[in-house]
Amino acid sequence: MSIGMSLILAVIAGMLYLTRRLCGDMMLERPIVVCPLIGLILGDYQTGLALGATFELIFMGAQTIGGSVPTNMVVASVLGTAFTITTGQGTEQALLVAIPAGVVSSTFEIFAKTVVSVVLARADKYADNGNSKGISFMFFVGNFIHFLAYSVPVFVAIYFGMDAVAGLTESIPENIMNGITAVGNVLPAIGFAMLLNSLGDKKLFPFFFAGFLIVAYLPAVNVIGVAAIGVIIGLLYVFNDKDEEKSDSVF
Amino acid sequence: MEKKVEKKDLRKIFWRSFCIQGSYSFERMSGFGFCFGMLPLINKLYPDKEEKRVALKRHMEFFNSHSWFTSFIMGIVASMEEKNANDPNTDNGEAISAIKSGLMGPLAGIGDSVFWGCLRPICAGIAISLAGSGNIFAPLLFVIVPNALHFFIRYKGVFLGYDMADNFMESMESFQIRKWMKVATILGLMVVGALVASWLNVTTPLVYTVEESTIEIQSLLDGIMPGILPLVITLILFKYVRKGKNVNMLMLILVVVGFVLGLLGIIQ
Repeated sequence: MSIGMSLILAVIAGMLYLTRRLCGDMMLERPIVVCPLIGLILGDYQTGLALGATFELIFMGAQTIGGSVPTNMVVASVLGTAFTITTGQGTEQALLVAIPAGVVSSTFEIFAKTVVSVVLARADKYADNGNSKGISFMFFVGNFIHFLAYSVPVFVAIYFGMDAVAGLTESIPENIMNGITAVGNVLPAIGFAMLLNSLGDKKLFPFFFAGFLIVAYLPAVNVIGVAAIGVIIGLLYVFNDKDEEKSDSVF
Repeated sequence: MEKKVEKKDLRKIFWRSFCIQGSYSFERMSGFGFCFGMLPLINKLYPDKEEKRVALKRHMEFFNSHSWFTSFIMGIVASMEEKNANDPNTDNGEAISAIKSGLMGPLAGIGDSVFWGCLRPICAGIAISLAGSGNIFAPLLFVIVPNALHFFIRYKGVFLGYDMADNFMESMESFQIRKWMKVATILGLMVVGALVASWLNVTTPLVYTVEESTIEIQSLLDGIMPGILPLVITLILFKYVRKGKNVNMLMLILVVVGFVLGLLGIIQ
């Protein structure tokens, strides 16, 4: 891809990530937003949309829990979309290229979150002098480091890596493709497992099976349907529980 | 002269609270963002350099909570800082730090399970199925619906926090937060169950031949329970995630195992 377009995509990736940092976690860095946007820029919105659905499913449960760094889904989404649109190859090949890149790129974010400590030390000094302008400036510096942590790997992957791997992925034997297809199908499970973990109330866990069984036996019920049933069951269960009346404070 | 936090100061905090996760670090997490959010108010309340110095350092401390709730905590802190600034004889610094660290954990827990564990999977599930059928508005829906709630919580939060700072323990109880969290958890669990059943498309292409008749293993499994493979895979992974195993490592293992099983024609 041309150096100009690579730069544009890198800047967009960095900006989308910064919305999480500076725009209150608006979820603009999720694949369902990133992939269609990159598709729009490269002139193929529909391909971006389809990839967005695939990648969102894979990364659905991915979230930073207490500062841990998951696979970099922004890098994976941008690279996967750019790769599919420019080479015309399929979703399996896109996953094969994007997932490893996302795993490797997460080290850049770890690097940024570590290096910002240096910025913090300067900011501490300014705080000690009562210099609020200095603090604001260091805040800007720290955010710029985070911006680079996303835009640099995107640029490197797209400008140097994409064409190089495109030749390799073109002639993959069929059984290898079957393996990649299986990986794509099975990957969302890790996200679901993480979601279940964040909903960690052992006593309520049977409701997970309730949701599963409804859709498994009645495939016509979609997510909205289950959500509606879930609200009703939740209200009935919680507000009819006598033991619950006694203690009602999380603090 | 009495120093007063005005509406426009709170509105400033609301805007700045969007930057809560800026300059994020392992060392202090959102601590820097919290200081950035309080900066204008600190400047206004403490014209005296020594007092300002202490207040700035107080807000450079470690902080981490759910992003959408930070304006609420900032509102409470604004009220406490206002009292502190008007009362030069006593130092409420420790109380302010205690409120911050006392609130950030529970609110992070509520936010993570209600918004990330429940709201986002619902919106994502709907957006994925819309995008899958080529509906061009899927990303817009995914952005607009949750963020309408986000902006509402963030805007109301700062004023609510400021108003109820004095007796917020009692006010919190009247919200029955724990009950609503339970409702959200039940809803979240059911939605994740539905997502596993509808979006985890792992099947087996294995066939088993007995005296000229072939039996598809998948139809046998479907006879036991539709979607049993996705269910078992999710439960195994959940067990390991709950044990605290590194998620990136688990993902890597899943990729390798999935690849090998796919290569051998055991799953697809």
